Amino acid sequence: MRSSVWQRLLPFLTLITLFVGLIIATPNFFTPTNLSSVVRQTAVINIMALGMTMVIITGGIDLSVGSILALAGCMGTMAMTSGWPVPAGIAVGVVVGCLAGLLNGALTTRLRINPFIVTLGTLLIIRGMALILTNGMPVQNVPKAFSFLGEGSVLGVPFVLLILLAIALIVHVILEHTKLGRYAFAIGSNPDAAFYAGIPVKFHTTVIYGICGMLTGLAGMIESSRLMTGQPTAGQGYELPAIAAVVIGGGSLRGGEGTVVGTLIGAFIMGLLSNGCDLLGIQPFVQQATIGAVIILAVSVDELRKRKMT
Amino acid sequence: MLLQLEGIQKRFGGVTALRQGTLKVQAGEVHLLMGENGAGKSTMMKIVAGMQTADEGQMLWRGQPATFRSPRDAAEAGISMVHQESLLAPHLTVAENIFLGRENAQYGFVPRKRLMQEARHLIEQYGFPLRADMKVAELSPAGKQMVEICRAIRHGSSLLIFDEPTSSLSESETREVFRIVAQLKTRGVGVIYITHRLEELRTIGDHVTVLRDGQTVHTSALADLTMDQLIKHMVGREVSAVYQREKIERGKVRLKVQDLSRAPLLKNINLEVHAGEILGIGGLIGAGRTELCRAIFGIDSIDAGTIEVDGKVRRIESPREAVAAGIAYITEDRQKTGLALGLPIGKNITLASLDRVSRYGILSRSAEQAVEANFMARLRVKAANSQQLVGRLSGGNQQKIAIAKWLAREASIFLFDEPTRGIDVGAKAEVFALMEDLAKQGAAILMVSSELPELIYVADRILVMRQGQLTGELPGGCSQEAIMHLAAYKESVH
Repeated sequence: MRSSVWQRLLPFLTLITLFVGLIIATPNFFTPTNLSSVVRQTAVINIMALGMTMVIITGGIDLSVGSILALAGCMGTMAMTSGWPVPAGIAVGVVVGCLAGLLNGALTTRLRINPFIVTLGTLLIIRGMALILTNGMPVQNVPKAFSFLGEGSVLGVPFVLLILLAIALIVHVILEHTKLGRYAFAIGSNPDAAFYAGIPVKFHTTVIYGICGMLTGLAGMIESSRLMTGQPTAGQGYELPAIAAVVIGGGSLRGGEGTVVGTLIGAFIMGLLSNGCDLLGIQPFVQQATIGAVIILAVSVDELRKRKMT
Repeated sequence: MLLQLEGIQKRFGGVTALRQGTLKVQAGEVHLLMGENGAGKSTMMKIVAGMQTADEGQMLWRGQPATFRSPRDAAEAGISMVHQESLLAPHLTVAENIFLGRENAQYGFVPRKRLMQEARHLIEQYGFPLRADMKVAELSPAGKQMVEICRAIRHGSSLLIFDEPTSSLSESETREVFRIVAQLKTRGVGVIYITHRLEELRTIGDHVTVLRDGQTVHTSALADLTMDQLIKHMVGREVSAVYQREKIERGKVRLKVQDLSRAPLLKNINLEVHAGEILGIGGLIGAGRTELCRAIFGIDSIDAGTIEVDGKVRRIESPREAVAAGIAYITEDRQKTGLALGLPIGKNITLASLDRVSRYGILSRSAEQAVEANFMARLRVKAANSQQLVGRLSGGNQQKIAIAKWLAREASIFLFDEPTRGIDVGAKAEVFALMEDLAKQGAAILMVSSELPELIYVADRILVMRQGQLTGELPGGCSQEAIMHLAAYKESVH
């Protein structure tokens, strides 16, 4: 019993150990500049990972988030360069992301195709759309005010951190305290039982993909704001760290499991690892291998814990 | 003496699954192992089959002390287990499955022709109703059982353990399994047979050992025991009758099905279920009883016919609409379609009635807890608390949760599909008491069952199905022969 409590806390303890270790190992870590840079760097993946958490809880997966991020970023910034106010531009990005997510959801539930395949397809389709729309060129001359979203601070706290916390809270409430969240767990745990219980499985699954797309759209706007361009090639490969964050945080690709806190910890573990490696002058190649090893380690510890419980 | 177990003990963490396991099995006998769920039958058999090791006690195999560290160990000594759930590779043929893991590959190549021949030979030798080149996925549950049995025999076992082999089989399929078991017996193979179906054991067993709370409480020749004595040993108290029914005044018609058809099976089904009535549906496996439930519940769309609830015609094209009409469906396979096994008890109970514990989509924790506590107490669910995962509960308790889900929804029409499959005598009695309670409160109950005594003693009326059609109506308390007469037709295992 006691050992299982330890194992459950392991991701959190790893994060703390990593944090303390880095404070001791390098004086450059625990500085306001560095910490805010870690937060800003991980915020994009973190917000996507929160959406991914919901999708993974339903037993699905969204491989197209990197492409959605790019398309949303491009269309949002294009709206701004064509004269729309900044908030409206951001809203465009969020709506585009939401629509893309709904498309993923509709395709998986209506055509009954495995979401892995569907989103592998839309990964290419949406990326293609972003490239066609921009002619392959970045969207330039974005209004200066737009930089606040990704780079601004409120009372010394990075604005993206506030956004991240707000979204984490919202997603947590959805998952733990709403019908939608409960249905997501039920669908992920046993889609047939959910259907037989009279739950509109297709509708709720589609909505979850829509929310994931929406959050990815917002992440796309933050990414664009940090780059101050709309990059049609942005976000390539982002689906993997997003999925990894969920899985390190205890989510299961079999569905029915996952938490907001776990995902946040997972994303920050990866963020700190990569920041720490940078500060300690470790080769980027070694960094990648390290993160890969951590993913496997985290999941095997979690599996071990679950097996002990049965 | 083939196998002898003395004082076997096994603990899992703080739980003692087996405290005094004793068993003696001779070559050429069929030994029944009985007991309620959680009595320790499976644990004991897993120890014999090398899937688990005992903490204490002695196992003698052919007179020699033995400990098997893996199923392979046990198989090499000559002990095989035929599992309840099929452990076969569905995309491979019967022959490939029989020899799976023992292909005797030559230089890495599987000698397909030879395997096929050997499989044919084995099938002929015992007269299995199987074809060696068929894909396992195309077989009926009975066919799959047969393949499992072939596999065990093929390994040259001298002791076969059957874990509830007939719980999902029809009468004639069950007879087929019994015929094979009888053959094994004449060839000097020892058979240990775990079963819940009290009715079937007379025809097959020689000796019986009863486990209760992890202890062997009784062992004797089967002929020396009456059914009542046996039940008493199993539950540890006098069970005058598991199937007792109180007479309930029946009310108005709650569910009316008219001319319901669905290709290719269901044809012109007409039935009525009254308030306070338990209507039994009998028939063989494949007669269309489950299909009828699925059609009424909106899982399969119907080609023709109407469904009336409380005098009003309802269009039911999905479970959601069925649930909205007040219909509940307790499915025959609770693990597959009835429960979210990875979620806690509480969340399973409220799954179909979240509307009632939420406002604007926001759940009220306190309202939910009240519902959970209410039904856990009412159904006497044995669990530490409502946070325990349903997947860890015994079959009987899982079934209670599957039912509780619909009680929480306050459904008025209940479709029970094989409500007592894989649950023990005590839990069966509780399920029947619950059905009776519901009927008393004015619910209409339709009960599909393959257990004839269940139909005869629990149902007020019995409709019998054959090949998708209703073939007749019988009163409760009728004879088994009367039901079988209406239900029977020539059938083959595949």
